[in-house]
Parts: sequence; structure tokens; C-alpha cells
Amino acid sequence: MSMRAKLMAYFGLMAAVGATAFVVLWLHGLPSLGIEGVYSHEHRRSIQAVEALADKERDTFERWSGTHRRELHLLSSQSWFSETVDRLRASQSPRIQSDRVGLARLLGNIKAMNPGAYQYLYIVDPVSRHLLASTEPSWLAAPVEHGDPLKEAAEPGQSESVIILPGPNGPSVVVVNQISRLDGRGVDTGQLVGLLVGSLGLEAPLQSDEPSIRMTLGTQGDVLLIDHLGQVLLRSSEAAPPKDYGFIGERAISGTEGVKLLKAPDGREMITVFRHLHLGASDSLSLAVAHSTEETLASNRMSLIRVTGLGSLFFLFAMGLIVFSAHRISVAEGEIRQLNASLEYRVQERTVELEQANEELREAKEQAEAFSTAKSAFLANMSHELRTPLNAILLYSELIKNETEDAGLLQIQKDVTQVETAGNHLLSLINDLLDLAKIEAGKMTLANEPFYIADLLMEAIGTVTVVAAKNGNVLQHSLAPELGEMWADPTKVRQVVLNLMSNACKFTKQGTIHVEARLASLPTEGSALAPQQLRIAIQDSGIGIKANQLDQIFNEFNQGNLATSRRFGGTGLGLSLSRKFCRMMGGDIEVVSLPGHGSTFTVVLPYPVAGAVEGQG
Amino acid sequence: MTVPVNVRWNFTLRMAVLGAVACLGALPGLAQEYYDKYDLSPNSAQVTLGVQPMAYPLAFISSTLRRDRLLRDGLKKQGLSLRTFEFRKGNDMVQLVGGGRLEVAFLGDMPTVNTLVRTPTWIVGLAKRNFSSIVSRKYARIEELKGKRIGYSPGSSSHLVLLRGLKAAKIAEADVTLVILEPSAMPDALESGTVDAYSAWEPTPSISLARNPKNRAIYRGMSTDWVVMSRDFAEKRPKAALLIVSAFVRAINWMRSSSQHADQAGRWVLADGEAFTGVRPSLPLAKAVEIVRSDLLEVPGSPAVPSKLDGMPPLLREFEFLQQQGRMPAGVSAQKVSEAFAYPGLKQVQSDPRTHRLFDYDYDQ
Repeated sequence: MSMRAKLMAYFGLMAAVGATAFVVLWLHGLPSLGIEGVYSHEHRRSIQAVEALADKERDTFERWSGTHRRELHLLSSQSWFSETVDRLRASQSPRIQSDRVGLARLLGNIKAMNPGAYQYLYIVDPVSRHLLASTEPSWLAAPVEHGDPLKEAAEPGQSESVIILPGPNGPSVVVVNQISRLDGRGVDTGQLVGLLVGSLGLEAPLQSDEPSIRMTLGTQGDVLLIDHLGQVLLRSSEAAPPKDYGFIGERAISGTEGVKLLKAPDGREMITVFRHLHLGASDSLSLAVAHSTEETLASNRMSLIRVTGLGSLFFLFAMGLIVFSAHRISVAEGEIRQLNASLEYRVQERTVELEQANEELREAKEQAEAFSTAKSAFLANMSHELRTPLNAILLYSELIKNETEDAGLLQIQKDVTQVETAGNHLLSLINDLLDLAKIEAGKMTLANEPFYIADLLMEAIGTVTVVAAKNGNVLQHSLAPELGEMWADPTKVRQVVLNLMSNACKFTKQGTIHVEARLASLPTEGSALAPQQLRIAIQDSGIGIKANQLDQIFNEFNQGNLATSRRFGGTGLGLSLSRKFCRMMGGDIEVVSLPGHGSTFTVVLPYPVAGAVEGQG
Repeated sequence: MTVPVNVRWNFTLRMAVLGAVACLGALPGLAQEYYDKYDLSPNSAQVTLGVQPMAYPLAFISSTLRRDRLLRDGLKKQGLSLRTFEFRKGNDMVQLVGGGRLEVAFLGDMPTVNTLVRTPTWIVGLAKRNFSSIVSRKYARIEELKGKRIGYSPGSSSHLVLLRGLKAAKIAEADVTLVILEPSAMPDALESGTVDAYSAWEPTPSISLARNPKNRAIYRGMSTDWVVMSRDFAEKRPKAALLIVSAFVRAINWMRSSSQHADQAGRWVLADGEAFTGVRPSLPLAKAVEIVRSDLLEVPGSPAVPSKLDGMPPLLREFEFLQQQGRMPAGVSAQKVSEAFAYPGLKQVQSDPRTHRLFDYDYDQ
């Protein structure tokens, strides 16, 4: 799978999971964390809307029933009305027929002025149950089913009763007001003369609010009136689609209010809000406002579609970005791959070149080493071959010089002396070359032994005193009293010291050569016994050395510059050998110099044991 | 995991409040202390009324009745005086009715049933027909209260409504945490989150609904309040008993006769409530009057007792429910409840309004 495909798959999957998680969270929330999803939120809002409608319907119903209850109560508490009913009941009035007609007309007017409010009105004798007046001309007596309720409504104290009674057009809310005989002040005497009965039509309050109901409840919701037996007495609108709302009536519990999510027989969930309707002390109605949960969330469905649409657009945009990014990354990846390939090729090329160069260098090095080895061997051999006859020359020069001295041949002695001097010089040169060859061949060894450094230095000073005097130099020395016995190669120490002293005498005229030897402690951490070093400084007031030549004077065959070499002579091996000897013994030579003012060469050796690096070349 | 300090403090505070409130309500000893101080020893020269200043509209009747000069004068002629004792809830009076301690009591339906089955008592009349409510803020349906904390007052009419509500929602009592609370503490407990809901009678639900628009009555169950009378008192002092009944009816008639009278009664209720609790009731006068109007004055026929309430004899539904819940003493039959309605006093005075001066009013101002 290519990188582009991987990226698209990865980010595509991430985007899909993210979008799905977002939609699920948006819809359902995280109830365990108290985060409410849109479904739950809208469901709650819908419940509140249905509750608000139920409360409004209840208020409408109670306002409506209250209005008509007060209307009937006001009528029943009027003195003239009480007197008229009383007369009519007693049948003593000559105006009986006119009273009857007048009351009937009054009731008819009340019914007519309140269209839909009253189904019927009548006034009944509480004892005989004969109708004294009625809006229904055909009725002679109260309906049979009103018998017991009217009996109870006639009980003392039951000034008003509101009961649900069956009627010719179905159950209805019936308001019964006692009509009592009043005294002169209009106060109830407790003597019942009749009952004013009014049947309220339940449809009116609900139908008057039908547009509002439909707006809130849509096509599938409805408002129902339910009696305490659970029978659905009335629905808000017959125009609404026919539905079986019996399941709501069954769940209505008389005298309770609340919200229930009820399952309709067809499986629909209905948000059902129950409200109690104040009727009377004995009976009650429940108002149920039902709203389909599905329809409730229909508006959410549009929101969901919108969110899903926006989400899809976002997803497509995100996918476009991912594809574009993947393409760009893929192109970049190809470029990087090409660059890597090119780089690898170039690295390989350079590696081959380097390997070739290394091989050449190695061969050159081997050749040089072989050459150096051959050179050293040649030098060693040649030095040996040269020294053997030279020793013979010196020996015989000594013999001849002694014999000529004895014979008084001064001129010959002088010549022989020069031969001897040249021979000694040549021997010194050969010895140096031999030492150098040994060192380079790795064959130089140290012959360490105990000796007193002060003795060795005094001996060397004594040796060079004559040389110093030749150039009119003053040789001074100061040796520290603590100098004692040390362990090193005394021959090489002497050779180094003599070399440096000779150089000082050689490059100084009419000056001072000062030899100083002392011990110096080396700085250490945490050691009670600090190591020491021997420092032998040979200071002259000679010609000095230029700063740019200081680095070269310890190279073989180097005396700073050609002019110096010609002027003062020498092989240029002394300083080089001296430093190598010192380093073999674990020390070194330091030099400070100021042209025209002199130089100070300081031999530094570990003390009291030197030569730790014996064998080093 | 680090819990923020404010969350820890909030939790601690809530638990402390919950504990304190629970202790206040749960300890019978503490709950009884306030009325143990009452002088309720039998006294033949006194008629003692047990009233609830913080239960509306009962308090409207009792506050009016205790200021009824006609009643006091009538009792005085019989060598009796009227004494009124305030109680926080009807359940506290159950054991005190009868035996010469409380002659008359104003009770909700559950305490009434508990009184009827324990003590020979008459029902004088209906004093309220309206709701006790379960109030919550977070939850819209009672079904959502499963596993939640619900404040309640044991043995009260609202307790009965709570039990009926839980049963209707198919929630067992064990499925919720019931927190005993004094009704006056319930609104604060709901606001602080100490409880998720509570069940109470008026005016407590109205206080919560007025305090926070998010609070809602998620379940309301019809409950009734009653005026009950010791049978012993009614038999020994029948005239005095009729005077009480007359004053009871007169109080309702007086409040019904004028909105100014209802307002005056409301002011007496608020004053009596403040005198009892030490705190001015937070419900406005208009709201209190609205409660008495809807729950009592506009209930047709009240205080007459209908033969049936929603198809069943009064209080029989409550008795049967409590019996099913195992909250009735063993061996008690429903007959004890129905017998209590045989007292003829109410019909007697209402059939002769003039004699019993049901429309004559003379109250302390």
C-alpha cells in the first residue's frame, strides 16, 4: 500500500470515526457525565411544551367551567329567583304558568347566550324530582340516572355539586346548585326549595383552542378528557386523524398529574401529560395531552439532516484536504526518495574515492615506513661502519700526538691535534646519528640507575666551564639543597644537560650562563603526597630565538635557520635528541626565548623516579 | 487524581447539610421536643385545637377560627376556653388526638387515616382537596428519580403521594434514597442539591416554583385535608362540638363572602406562621390566598363531605393503599375509616344556618 493510500485510509478513518462520534455525542450526549444530547434536550423541551399546553388547556377549562359555575351560582342565590322557584314548587301562585314559562325562557336565554356551553338546564323539585322549568320542552322529570346524584346534591351544606353524569349526548359535567329560601337579609335559611341543574358541554373549551393545540401537537397529538374510570370522554378535535387513545385513558390515574411516555398499540411512543381538572369534591376529570415522540423529534430530524449535511460537507472537504495533502506528501516523498538515491550514489562515489585515496596513503605510508626503516638500518649500519674506522683514527691520532710530543715535533703534533679534533667532532656527529637511528628504529633503551643529580650537574658544569670561557662567558649555577638521589638514566640526563649547556655557551658571547636546578611540586587533588618534578633551567644571555622558530628547533637537523647553522655549526640533532630522551624518561624540555636577550631551556623530569616511559621513541 | 478544592468543599458541605437535615428530621426525640413542651394534659375546661400554620389552606381555617369571637363566646357560656397548639406536620398530632389532649385536629389524609385507625375520631369536614407535589429541577418525569435522593416528611399526605407516585412509576422505595426533611427545609435542600426532588404539600411546592423557574412539579397527586374531632369530646361536649363545627363552616363562608376576607385571613396565616417558625413565610400573600381559593373556597360543596371521591368512599383509597404498603396496624379494617364519617354535626349545623350563625361574622381584628 502506497504512502498516499495509507494516509488517506488513516485520516479518512479518523475523520469518519470523529464525525460519527460527533454526531452520536450530539444526538445522545454522555448521560453518565450529565451531558445532554440533542435528542434528550429536545425531548425535554417537547415535554415542557406539552406541559405548557396542558397547563394552558387546564386553565382554559377551569376558567370556562368557573365562569359557568359562577353564573349558575349567582342565579341560584338571587332572592327573586329563590322566591319564584319556591312559588312554583308550592304551586300556590296564580302566576304559576307564567312563572314556569318565565323560568324556562330564562334558562333558554342563558343557554342561547352561551353557545356550546350548556347542553341543557333545568330546575327540579328536590323532593318530587319534577321539573319546574327546563330548556328541554319534552322533559317532564329529571333523567332517571340523575336520581341518586340529585339526592346527594340536596343534602344540607351541599350548596354546589359538580358531578359527571351520563346524558343523552354522552357523559357531561353537571353543575347542581341548591336553591334555598333566603331571609329578609338574603341569608340562606337552610330550607331547600329547588335544585338548579346545568349540564356543561365539554367540547366548547377544547374546540376553542383547537388551532393552538394543532400548532403544538401536530397531526398525531391530541387533547383528551378522561373520567375517573379511565374512559376517554372527549378529544379535542374529531377532525384529527382517528386514533385509538384508549391506552391513554387506561393509564390515567384519577387525581394525579405528571408526564408519562406511553406506548400506543401501533408502537408509537406518546409523550402524555396528565392534568387534573377541578370539578367538584366528589368527581374529577383528567386532562391528557398526548404528543407523538416521533413527531416531537421531527423538527430535530430536520436539524439532524442539516447537521448531517453540514457534517458531510465538512467530511468531504476534510477528505479533499486529506487527498490533496496526501498527494503533496506523496510528491514530496518522491522528491526526497530521489534526493536520497542521488545522495547515496554520491556518497558511494565519494566513499570509493576515499577508499582509493586511503589505499594510496596506506601504500605511501608503508613505503615511507619501509624507507624509514631502511634509512634507520642504513644509518645504524653506516654509523657503526663509520665509527669503527673513526675510533681507529682517533686512537692512532692520540698515539701519534703523544709520540710527536715526545719527539718534539710540534708542527706535526698540531696537525694531528686537528685531526683528532675533527675526528671527535665526527664521532659526536655519528653518535648523534646513531642515537637518532636507534630511537626511530625503536631500539633505544634506558639504563636507569640511582644517582645524585647534584653530582651529575656539577660534573657537567665542570665539563662545559672551558667551553664557556672560550666565548668569555660566565657560568653560574644554583642548585637547590633538597636535590638528592634519583632514579633515571644518568648517561642520557648528562647528555641532555651537556647539550643544553654547550648550546648556551655556543650561542652566547661575553654573557652569562646560569644553571639552576630545583624541585617543584605538581598540583594534585586529594593526595597528601604530591608528586614532584626536577626542573633544570639553563639560562643564557645569548642571541635568543625568534618566536616563529621555537616550534622548529626541536626538529631533527634544524637550528632555527641556515644562517645560524653556518655561523655556529652543529648538526641540528642535539635538541631533537635531548627532547626525545627527556620524553623517554617521562619528562620534556621547555623553552622560552627573547631574541637578543637570551633563552632559557628547562629540563623537566619526574622526581625522584624518571624513565617511566622507557623504550618510547 | 486531584479533586479541586471547591468540589471537595462543595461535597463536604452538602454531606454536612444532608446529615444535619436528616438528623433533624429522623430523630423522633428531636422532632417531638417542640410539642412535648405543650401543656396537653387532659383539661375538661379547655377545647384544644391542633393546627398546622405551615399547611395551606388548613392554616386559613385555623387562623380564622381561633379569632372567632362567636366561637369563644359560645364556649365561654359552656365554661370552656379555646386553646390552639401549632404543629409542624399532621403526623405529630396522630398520637395526641383524643384522651382529652387534642379535641380537634387539622390533618392531611395520611395522618387522618392513621388517626382514625388508632383513636375513636370523627371526621368533621373536608378542608382541602388539591395536590401534594413532587418537585424537582433536573428531572421531568418521576421515572427518572430512580436511584435519586428524595426529601419527604414521613407519615404525611405528601408521603402518601410520593408512595403512590413511585408505585405508578414502578419504582420500589428501595430504588430511591428517601431523605427525611422538615417541609420548611425542602426548598433549600433542593436548591443546594442536597436532594434531587422532594414531596410536599402546599405551600412548600409553590415556594420552590416561585423561587426558581427551573423547578417543576413533576408529579402531583390529589390529597385531601380534614378536620377531625375526638369522639370522646363530641359525646361529652356535643354543644361545644357543634360550636367548633359551626365556626369551621363560618370561617369558610366568611372567606368565600369577600376577597377582602380571604386576604385578611391570609395576613393572619402569615403572622401565625412567622410566630410559630420565627421566619416570615416566603410565599407572597397573593399566592397564599390563591391557594386557599383554589384548594378550598372554590371546591364545590366544601366543607361538606361527598359520599364518594372519584368513585370511592372518602379515604378508603388511601387506607387500602397504605394497607397494601403494610403501613396500617394489623387487623384494622376499612370499616374504622368509613365509620368516622358518621358524625352528623356538619349536616346539623348546615341545615340550620341561622341557629348556628353560619353567616354571622365577628372576628378579632
